[in-house]
Amino acid sequence: MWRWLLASGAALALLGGVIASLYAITTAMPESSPEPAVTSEPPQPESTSGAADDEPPSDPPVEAAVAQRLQGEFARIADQYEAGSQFPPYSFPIDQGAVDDYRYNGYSPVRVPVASDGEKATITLRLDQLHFEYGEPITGMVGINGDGASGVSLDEVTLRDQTGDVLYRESLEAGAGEQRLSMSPGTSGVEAWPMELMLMVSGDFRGESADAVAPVRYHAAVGDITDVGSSRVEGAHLVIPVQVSIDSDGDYAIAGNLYSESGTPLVHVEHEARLGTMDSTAQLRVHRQALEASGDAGPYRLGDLSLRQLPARPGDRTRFSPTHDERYDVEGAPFERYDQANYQDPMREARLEFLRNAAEEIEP
Amino acid sequence: MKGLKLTALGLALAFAGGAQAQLAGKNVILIHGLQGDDIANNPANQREIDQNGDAYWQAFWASRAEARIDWGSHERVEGRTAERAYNQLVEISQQGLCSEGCIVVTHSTGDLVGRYVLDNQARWLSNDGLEPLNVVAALDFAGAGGGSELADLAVNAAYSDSFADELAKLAVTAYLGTTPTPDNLGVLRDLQPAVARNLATSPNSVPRLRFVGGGSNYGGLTGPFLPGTDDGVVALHSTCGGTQVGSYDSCVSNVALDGKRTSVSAPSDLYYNHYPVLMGENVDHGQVINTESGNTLTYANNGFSVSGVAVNFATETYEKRPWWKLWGSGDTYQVVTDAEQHSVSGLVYNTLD
Repeated sequence: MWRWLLASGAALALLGGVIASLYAITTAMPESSPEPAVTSEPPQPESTSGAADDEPPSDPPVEAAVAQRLQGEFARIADQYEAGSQFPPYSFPIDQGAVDDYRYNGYSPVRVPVASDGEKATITLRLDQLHFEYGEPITGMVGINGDGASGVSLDEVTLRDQTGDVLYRESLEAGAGEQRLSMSPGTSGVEAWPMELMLMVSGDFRGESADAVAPVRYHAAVGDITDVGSSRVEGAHLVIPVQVSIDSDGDYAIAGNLYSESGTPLVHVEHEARLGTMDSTAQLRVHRQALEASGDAGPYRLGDLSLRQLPARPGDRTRFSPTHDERYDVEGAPFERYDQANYQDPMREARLEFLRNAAEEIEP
Repeated sequence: MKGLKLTALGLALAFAGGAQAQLAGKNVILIHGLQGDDIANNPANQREIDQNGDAYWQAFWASRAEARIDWGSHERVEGRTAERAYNQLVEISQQGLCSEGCIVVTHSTGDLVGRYVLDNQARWLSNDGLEPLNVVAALDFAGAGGGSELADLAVNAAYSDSFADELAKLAVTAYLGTTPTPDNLGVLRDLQPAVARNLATSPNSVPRLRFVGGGSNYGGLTGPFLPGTDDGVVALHSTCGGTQVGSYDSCVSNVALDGKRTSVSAPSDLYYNHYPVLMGENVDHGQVINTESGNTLTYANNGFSVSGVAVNFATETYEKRPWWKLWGSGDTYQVVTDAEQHSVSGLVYNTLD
């Protein structure tokens, strides 16, 4: 018996020794890294409060080292800004992953925790968009999840004004899981409603009431995109006339994406213009540099067009149209036909100077 | 939110002023965040709003700025806030404070207000025959431009008779310092992510530099209601400038908030011209604009050089092996050395100035 214990002890000691050796050896080995300075200890906080930043630096070498790390970071940002700002913000290259990033009138889900007798669930409201136009059904998803989800049932959806008064109601049948939500307030009497509404789903959670509220906008149509005219080369731009139908004069913005003939997204396009009911053609401009970066001289397809009415004065509200599904043919042109001048943002140099200023001492 | 507890200091100056109220030779304009006091007790006039705005920035930035855009949290962005902001923009334009370029510094909801102002100022000022502001860059501390889920909770608490989740109630009360009602929601309606992410998101040429934290506020009450990592008030999807709401633990996918180089969830895309710069695991929502030091900071370097020009700057890393990892190399961390001796704002100011 003692022999077994001694043997086991020796084996454990040997194993421990091997592990300790391995630990010591591998700890001493620096990881291969491109960085010149690798230490083995984390920095230790030396202060937890105080107003050190209103005082002059106490240790110039340390101060310089800290500044140098950040200078490198700002240099990286300057580098990125320099690359990005060669394209104007009204036309720049995009890929498939970025199409949704520049889609207006989106929606972020509202998650509302509900509880009853110690049980919990979450009601999630995810509308298809924030702004809906009169006559358009208000659509989205309603989800009920969590441990207590099976005890939740929703039986009504209402539109309310900001005071909470009900303007419109429909019945609903929603239980645990995800369900499609659709309500059709129509057009009768809606002009008297405020643009800004709350959508509330209501029901029961094991005998107690349960509800959730999400924001929605319901308003008159902003306008309609009726046609896309023949494109032409003007200076460094491919100009695409877009015909819109609007009810009132004002400042508008049109956004869309230029695709290749095979459907690959190439350039995101933005345009702001003052439009009138008598003069409602917006001239979308796509810069040659953005087209050239895509490597595609056309022909193109213009899609995902959306219209926004911008606040003409402080205090005015922005109104959004739905994004149009239709795609329009757009003729391209050989890149040589464009003016070869690069896009110049008058503030670009000042911005680069500001960002690079912090990094200039350690430029390679 | 630290700003919630601030009270007016009685300073009636609309503009901060100061002998060296510049950053890198550029005038600085401040746009503050949500002030819960405004929601509990609506300011009576612009003078009170200005006093609150002045108090908000006293810890660090007040003496380093030439002007502020002050707004009331009881009001709406596309409403009185835009009107108030415009009146101040006119003054800034007429004084020529941005003629040679200026820097906008925002905190929290000031990111959203600032984005709206930057998106519209050129058109509004030009329409009135005034010179638009030449904004060189915006420094966004704990930016809430993508909204905060705490605003969703507050709106639901205001409208729903059955808002029965006790923890959620506690979180809302801690956040606002008051009970929300349909009448006092103000900017909280704009701060709902579904609304915030529809306000002035068009591509803008002003670079927005993001400084974010992952610390905790309100004794951790609010964190469970914010997706992914948050600073106690705003989740990273918003502070980083992500284009979509999501549950993220860093602004970049290869560096965690504590500086550890590892694969970590991060926004796949950021808003146009948004650049995360510094991240601090323990920096909370208010600390980013005050003088509190002692936090380790990491930089959001994703090793990506879009211009094709290699940027090969010295960086500081260290290795640390977790106690449970018996052999092999330790984890590599990238940190800003000695950042603990500075506040986040102090570090940024000293570097850029």
